[in-house]
Amino acid sequence: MLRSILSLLIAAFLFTACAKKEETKPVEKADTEITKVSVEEFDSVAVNLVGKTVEVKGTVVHVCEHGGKRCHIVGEDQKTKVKIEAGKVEKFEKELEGSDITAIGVVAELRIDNAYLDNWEKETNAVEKEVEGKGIHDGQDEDAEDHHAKESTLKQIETLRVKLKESGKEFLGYYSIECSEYKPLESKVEEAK
Amino acid sequence: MKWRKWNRIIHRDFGYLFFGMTIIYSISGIAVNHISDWNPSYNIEQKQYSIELSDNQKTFTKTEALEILNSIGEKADYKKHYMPNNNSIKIFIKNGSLTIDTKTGTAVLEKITRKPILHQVNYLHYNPGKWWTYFSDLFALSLIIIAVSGLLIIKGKKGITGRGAWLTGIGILVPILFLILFY
Repeated sequence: MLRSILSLLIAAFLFTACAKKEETKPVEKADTEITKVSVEEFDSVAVNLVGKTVEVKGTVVHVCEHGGKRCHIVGEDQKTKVKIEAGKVEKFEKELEGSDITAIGVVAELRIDNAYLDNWEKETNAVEKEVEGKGIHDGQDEDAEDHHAKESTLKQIETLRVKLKESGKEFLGYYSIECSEYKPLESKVEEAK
Repeated sequence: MKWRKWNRIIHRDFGYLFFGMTIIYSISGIAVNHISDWNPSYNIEQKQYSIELSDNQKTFTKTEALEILNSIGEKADYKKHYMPNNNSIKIFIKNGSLTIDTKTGTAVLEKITRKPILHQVNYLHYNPGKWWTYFSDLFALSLIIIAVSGLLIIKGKKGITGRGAWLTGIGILVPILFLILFY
């Protein structure tokens, strides 16, 4: 009797574990050729480089507070930013902030369309207070991008709806790099006298 | 039976061998489980200052940044500075940063230090390299062996055909219920 119950439970566990698979989009195999791109030109050329491997160089101005899953680098103009997801490197250390790095990775595209926004709004309404890591990089507040309060997330969704409508396009494209490796560049550290 | 003796030996020795790994993954597991409530790897200390800035911050220079660091009594190590937006300047120092609100002159010095033990165990949890991945895969497989062999250690009333079946059943039922309710 007990053995039957146990077998049933194991079977039920295996069934529920296999029943629903995560919906994933097929990932294009990355090219081995590496294209060097500056941070300043990244946003304008990224649309043609989706799925391709690029190398960018910049200063790390923000590392995600909780877990280092992403960082932002800024270009020489000190304004343009590129979001780099940890990808294969798993995490970025907080100490990287203020350091120059060279990062290599695959360009990823996030397409924001009405269906995406509807789903995001639904997810946001379902949580109690904070939505993690789904914010859109607007280049202003990096911390807010990692951890949005529910209210500000809903506000951002609304802003994106307006932006999408104004663009007249079917979707808005946001680009980042899925990092496969990075190297801090040597930089001088000076003590204030 | 002879197989039961070998089962006990495997369970015992794998348990000894992977004791350290179990502790590493369980501590970091708890730490990372609560990632939205705290920073599991770093202690972050903040201090507030009032800074007097020159009128033209558009041309904020490295010399000015060094002067500011000196004025707050921090013999900190300057790395770089930049202006995230029109109202702030961020000066990066070794293990921290100073963020200045250019409108109010309020500056927040943030210094980070690695949490002892937790930083190291979290580092290992996030798979720092391929050799660690191989070793942690071996650990994961060993956990299966330890779990299965554990079921078969004792025979009789308190074994898997008696009390063990009930407890094992409850342990499996909890994730099933969770999947039914929330998946």
